[in-house]
Amino acid sequence: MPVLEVEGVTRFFGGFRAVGDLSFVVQDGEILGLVGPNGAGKTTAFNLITGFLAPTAGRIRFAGGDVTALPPHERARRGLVRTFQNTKVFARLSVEENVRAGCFLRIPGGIRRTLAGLSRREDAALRAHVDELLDFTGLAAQRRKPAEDLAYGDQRTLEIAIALGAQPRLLLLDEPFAGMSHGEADRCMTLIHRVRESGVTVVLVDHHMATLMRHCHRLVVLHHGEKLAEGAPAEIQRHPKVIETYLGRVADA
Amino acid sequence: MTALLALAAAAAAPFVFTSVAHQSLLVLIAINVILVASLDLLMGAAGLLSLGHAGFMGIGAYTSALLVFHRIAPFVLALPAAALAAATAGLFIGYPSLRLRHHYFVLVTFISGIILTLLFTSLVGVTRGPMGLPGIPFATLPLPGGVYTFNTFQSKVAYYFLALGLAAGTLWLRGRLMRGRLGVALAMIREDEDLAMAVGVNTHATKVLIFVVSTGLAGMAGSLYAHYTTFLSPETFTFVDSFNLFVMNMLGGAGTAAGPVVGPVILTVVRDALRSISPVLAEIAFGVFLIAVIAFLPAGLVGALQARRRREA
Repeated sequence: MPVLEVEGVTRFFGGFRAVGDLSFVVQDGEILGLVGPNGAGKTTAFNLITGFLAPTAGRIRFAGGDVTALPPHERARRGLVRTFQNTKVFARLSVEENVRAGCFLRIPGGIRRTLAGLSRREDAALRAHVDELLDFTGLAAQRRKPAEDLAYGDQRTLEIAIALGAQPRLLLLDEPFAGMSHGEADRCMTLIHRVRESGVTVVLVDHHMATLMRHCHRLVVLHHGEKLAEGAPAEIQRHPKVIETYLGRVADA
Repeated sequence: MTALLALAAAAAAPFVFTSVAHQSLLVLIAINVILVASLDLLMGAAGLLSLGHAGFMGIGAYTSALLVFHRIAPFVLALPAAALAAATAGLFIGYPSLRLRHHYFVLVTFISGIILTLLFTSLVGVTRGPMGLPGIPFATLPLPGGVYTFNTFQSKVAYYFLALGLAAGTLWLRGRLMRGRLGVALAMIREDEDLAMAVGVNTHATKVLIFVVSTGLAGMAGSLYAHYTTFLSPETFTFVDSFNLFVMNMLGGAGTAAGPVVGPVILTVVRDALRSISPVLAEIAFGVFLIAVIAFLPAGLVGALQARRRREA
């Protein structure tokens, strides 16, 4: 069953076509890799899916509904949640406050609560959920630290913890391994697998073909804003167009 | 606990400072606390810098003054009407301009403030423009034993307590707003607006909401000011006045609990002290003082104290 359906999505910047007639689906429960060299339109595609950019043409359906015209926060409310390429955390808030902020949609609102505060039960439920996420991501020991004081890898983990707070059905991670050491990237990938096992579908964007090959169920390869290939890693590996683009044409002689 | 002690000290203040000049300062400080606390809902809480706050105060001041002056409404209704008028203006200005970010938004608030000042000056038929609006009636309060009039020419103490009450109420409301869901959303917007959107915050609606609340409170402060001085002039609501509010907020410490009290108290007292030494040199000395604050205490007095305490802990 598809969670996300991208149908003929195109985006122009002036006369430049950053993404052209892109179509693919993300199946419920899979880890899908969106891969391509720098400038292939990965980030544009990502911004179009999450609502940070409006497409020039095409439709995006999420969980059965058309979300093409919805702003990012409405998509997040439906379970379409993203992280950012250049790490974004709430820098001056503590780790715990960051995760609590991520749980924004779970915080009961309304005028009465604004003036009288959350009830003890509501507050306890929220705290329990924050604790759960801190434990799940292994950040519990550093909960009091300001986010800006965390090591780089931990900041990226915190980003995922914030995103999980929004209870995603589909989590889109924009180059989660960028700038990470091998050890950090491995730990991050372990976390991503655990996220998927907890029932969240994952889309990974990266330009490291090898990493995505190892961890994704399926790959969508972008080139010059268009879909070059789509399929399981083994298929992609043998795909003539991919080989041609990535390795160059095999010489005749 | 600290808040209660501060409130007790504030309540005792007019009995310690019994001179008319000092009591007049106390009233102005209380009004400024409302203004700075409301401005801090933008600056401290949401990271939105507004340089047009005095304009919204002006809308409230003129609304309230004219309603009571023309016997359309008594003070008790004119005060909320003033807040409503300023909040409405806040909605109309905030809704489109809060789609902008950073210095673009700041620029719009700056221009809005200037346009409002121009309106106060040019709508001579309504505001009497640069001639000023004299003879604004004193505030009145219907009590069981009859209507009480806050004759601020005879005594400033009663009016001080009215202003103090509203200032305390404003600070309480600010504290509440900061602690709840709205406060979380505002902190996210301040730290990273894109990330806030990504986890489900309607950042535009949230910013418009807090802008409306903030400008409404500024309008309420304007009403208090109008019936205190009983005279209004467009010169009271210029960019310079907006800038002064910004400086008070900076000085106290944007986003800190005590900042909106500390800033107005210190600035009002320092300014008055400088003026009593030499009115000419006062403005220059004041300018130097402001530069020193911005250079050495970018987080404000309260912010610097908190940072020091954190280091020692």
